Amino acid sequence: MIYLVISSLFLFLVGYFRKDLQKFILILLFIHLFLFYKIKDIFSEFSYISIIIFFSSILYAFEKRIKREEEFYPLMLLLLSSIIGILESKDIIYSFIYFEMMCLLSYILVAFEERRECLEAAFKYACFGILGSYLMIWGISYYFVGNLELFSLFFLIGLSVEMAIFPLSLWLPDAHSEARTSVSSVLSGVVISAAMIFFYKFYKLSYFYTGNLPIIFAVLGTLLPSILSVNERDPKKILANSSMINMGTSFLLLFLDPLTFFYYTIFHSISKSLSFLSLGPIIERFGRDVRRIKEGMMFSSISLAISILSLMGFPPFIGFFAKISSLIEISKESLLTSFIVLLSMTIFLYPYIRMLERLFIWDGRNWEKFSLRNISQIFLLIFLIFFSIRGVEICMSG
Amino acid sequence: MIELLLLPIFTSFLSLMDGKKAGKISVMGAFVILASFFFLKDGYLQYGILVDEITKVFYIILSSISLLVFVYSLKYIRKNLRRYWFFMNLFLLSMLLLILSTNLLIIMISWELLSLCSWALISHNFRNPETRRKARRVFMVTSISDIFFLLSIFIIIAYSGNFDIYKIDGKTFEEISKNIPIFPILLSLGILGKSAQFPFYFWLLDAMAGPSTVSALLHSSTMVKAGAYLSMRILSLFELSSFSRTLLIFGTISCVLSLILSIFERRIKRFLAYSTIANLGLIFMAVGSKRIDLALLHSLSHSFFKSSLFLLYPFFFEKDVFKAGIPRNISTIILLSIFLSFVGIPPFLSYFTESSIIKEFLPFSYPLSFLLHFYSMRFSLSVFSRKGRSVKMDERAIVIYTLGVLNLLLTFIPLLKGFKVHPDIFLIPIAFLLSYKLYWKKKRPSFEKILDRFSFDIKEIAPSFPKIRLSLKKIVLIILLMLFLMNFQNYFVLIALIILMVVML
Repeated sequence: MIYLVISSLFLFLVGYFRKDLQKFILILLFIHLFLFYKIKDIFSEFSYISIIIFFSSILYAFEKRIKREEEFYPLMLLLLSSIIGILESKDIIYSFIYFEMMCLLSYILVAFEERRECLEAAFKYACFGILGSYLMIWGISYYFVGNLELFSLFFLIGLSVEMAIFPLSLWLPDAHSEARTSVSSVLSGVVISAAMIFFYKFYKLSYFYTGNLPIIFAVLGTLLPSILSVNERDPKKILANSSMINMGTSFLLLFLDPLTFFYYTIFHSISKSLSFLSLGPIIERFGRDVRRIKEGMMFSSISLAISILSLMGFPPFIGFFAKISSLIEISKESLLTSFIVLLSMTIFLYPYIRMLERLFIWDGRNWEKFSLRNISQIFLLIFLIFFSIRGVEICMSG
Repeated sequence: MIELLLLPIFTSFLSLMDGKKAGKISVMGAFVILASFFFLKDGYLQYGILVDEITKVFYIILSSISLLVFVYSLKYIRKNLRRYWFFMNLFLLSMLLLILSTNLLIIMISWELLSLCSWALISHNFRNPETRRKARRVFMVTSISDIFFLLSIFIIIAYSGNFDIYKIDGKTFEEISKNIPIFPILLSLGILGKSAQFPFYFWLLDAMAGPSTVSALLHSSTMVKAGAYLSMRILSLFELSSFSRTLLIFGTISCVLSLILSIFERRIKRFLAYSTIANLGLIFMAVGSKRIDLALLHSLSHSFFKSSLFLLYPFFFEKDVFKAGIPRNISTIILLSIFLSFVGIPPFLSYFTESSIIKEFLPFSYPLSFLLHFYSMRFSLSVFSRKGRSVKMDERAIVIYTLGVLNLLLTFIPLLKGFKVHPDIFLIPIAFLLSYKLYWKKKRPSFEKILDRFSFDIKEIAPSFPKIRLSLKKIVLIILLMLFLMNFQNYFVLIALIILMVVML
C-alpha cells in the first residue's frame, strides 16, 4: 500500500494538468491491482473485495463531471490504501496510523460536495471520530503499559464509533446519506467493515473485558434503528440505517465464529455498495423520497431490486445465506439474542419493501441509457452472484 | 426430479423476456409438471427429495390447480404480464421445493420465496395505493410469523447438526423439548402464521386485494397449505405430542372464530377468506390429532372447491353476497357440484372429511357441524337465488367446467375409502331451512341491519388508540365464542348457546 500512497500523490499532480490522463492512470492502477494482488488469507480476500468496490464506485463517478475531480480520485485511492493498510498490517501501531488516515479521508470525502448538509454531516462525523480516536490512543497506551483490561475497554469504546455500534453510531445516517453516491458506497460498504475487521484482528491480544455490555449495545443497536426507520422516506437514509443493523449483527458474530463473521461482512459490503450505486441514478431522476420513485430506470431498478432483496435476506442471494448462517451461530449461544436480531431484521423489512414496490414495474418504458454507471453495477452484481453460490457451502458447513 | 425444478426457473425467466407469450409458456410448463406426477417414484431419493403419500397429494393439488389457474389467467390478466407470470412461476418453483425436499435449507428458501411471491402477486395492481398498503401488511405479518418459524429451524439445526429432517434422530426433539419448553409453541406459531390461523389469520383478509387467480392459487389452495404440509411432514417423521396439541388448539380457535365472523361478512372475497381460515382450522385439527389421512383428504377437497369459488367470483360481477347471482349460461350441474361440495353435502368428499374430523375430536360436534353448514348455505343460497349475467364461454369458462367435473370426481373417494354418513346429517336440513328463510332472495336480513346501528369508532372514546372498528355484534359474538369454548363439555349449555346465536341471527 506504500506504492498506492505514492501513486495517489502522483495522481494529484497529474490531475492538475491532465484530468483524462489521471483517469487513465487510475484504470491502469486498478487493472494492476486486480491482476497482481495476492490473496493469502481472509484479510487479503477482504482487501480484494475493497478494491472491487472502490473500482466500481470510481467507475460510477467517471460518468458525471465532479467539481475538483482532480482531488477526488486521489483521495479515494488514498482511502483505499489506508484500508488495505489496516487489513494487511500485523502491528497495532501501524494499523492505528492507517486507521486514522482512513478516518481523516472519510471526513474530507463526506464534506467534498461542500453543500451545507454535507458539511454538517462531516462535522458530526469528525466530532464522533476524533473522540473515538482519542479513546483508542489511551487504550493503546494502556496496552504498552501492561494494563490489558483498560486497553480492551478504551479500545472497544473508541473503535465502536467507526464500527457504528450503538450508541456511538448516531453520526452514520447523516454522513452516509449526505455524501455523494460513490463515497456513500465506499463508506457503507468498506470503511465501517474495515473498522470491524481491525477490531477482530486485535481483540484477541488481551483478556478482553466484554461481559454482556457490548453484546447488549450491539443488540440494541440492531433493534432501535429498525424501529426508528419504519417511517423513513429518504432511500439513502434507509440504506444508511440498515448499515447500523448489519454492523450490530457483525459485532455479535465477531465473538462467535470467524468464518460466519467474514462472510457476513462480505455480504454487507457488496450488497450495500451495490445498493448505493444503483440508487444514485434513481435519486438523481426522482429525488430523495421513496414515494416519488417511478418506472423508467430499467437497469438501475433491476440492480437496486437485487441488492435490496439481498439486504432483506431473500434467496437465492448472498444476504439469505449470510442471514441464515449468522442467526444459526447466534442462536447456538442465546435464543433471546437471536430472536431480537431477527425481530429487528424483520421490522426493517418494511422500509425496504416500500422501496421495492416501486421497482418491480416492467411495462416496457425505459429512459435510462446504458452507461458506465450500469457497468459498475453489473460488475458488483457478478460478485454478488459469485458469493451467493459460495453461501450454500458456508451454510452447510456451519 | 431436478429437471422438474429447473422448468419453473426456465419459464419464469422466459416470462421476463416476452410478457405476451409468457402465459402460454407457463401453461405448457405447468402441464409438464402435472404430467410428471405419473413418473414420481416413492421413497427417499438423492438430494434430500422424499416422495410419499403426503408429497403426492400436495403435488397433485399444486400441479392441477396451477395448470387450471394459469389457463384462466390467459384471459383474466391483461396488464403487467411479465411481472405476473414471473412471480407465478417463481411461486410454483417455491412450492415444488417445499413439498419435494426434506432439506431444511431448501425449506427455508421456499418459505421466504413464498412470502415474496405472495407480496408481489397481491400488489399486481400496484398503481392503487390501497392495494400496495394491503400487500405490505400481508408481507409484514407473514414475515413476523416467519421469525418463529426460522427460530425453530435454527434450534433444530443447532441441536441436530443436520440439515436433513429425514436423517434427524427422534431423540433430538426430546432433548430440544426438555431444554427449550417453548419450542412447540415457536414451531406452531411459525407454521400457523403461513396458514393464516389464529393469531395471524387477519392477513388473509388483506390478501384478497390481489387478483382472483392469485387468491385461487395462493390464498386458498397452495400457499396457505404450506404450513399444513410441513406440520404433516414433521408429525409423520416424529412423535411430538405438545406440538400436535398446540396445532389442535389453535386450529379449533381459528375454525370457530372465522366461522362466526364469516356469518356477518358481506363482501364475497372476504367471506371466502374466512371460509379458507375455517377449513384450514379443520385441517390443523386433523393434523393435531394425528389423523393425517383426513387432513390430506380435506386439503384435496378444499383446494378444489375453494379455488372454483374464487375463479367463479369474477363471473358474479358483484362484490356483495346479497347482490351476486350465478352466471346464466354456465351449466347448473357444474355450479351445483361446486356449491354442494362447498356446503358439504353427501356424497361430496367435503362432507365426509368435515364430519369425520369434527366427530373425532370434539365430544359434542353438533354446534360446529351446524355452523359449518349454516355459514356455507348462507352464501350459496343467497347467490343461487339470483340469476346473474351471461358470461363469455372462453378459457375461463372451460376452467370452471373442469373444476366442476373434478369436484364431482372427488365423490368417488368416499366410496373407495368406505366413509359412512354421520349422525350430524340431520343438521343439514335444519341449516338449509334456516338459511332459506333468512337468505333466499333477500337483500339482507333485518337483524344484521339492526346490529350495524350500534357500531362505534373506538377513536371517539380513546383518541390515542389505533383505529379499530368494533361493532356490538362482534362484541356479543366474541363473548358467545368464549362461553362456547369454556363449556365444551356441557351439552345443554352448548345447545342453549346455539339457540341464542340463532335468535341473534
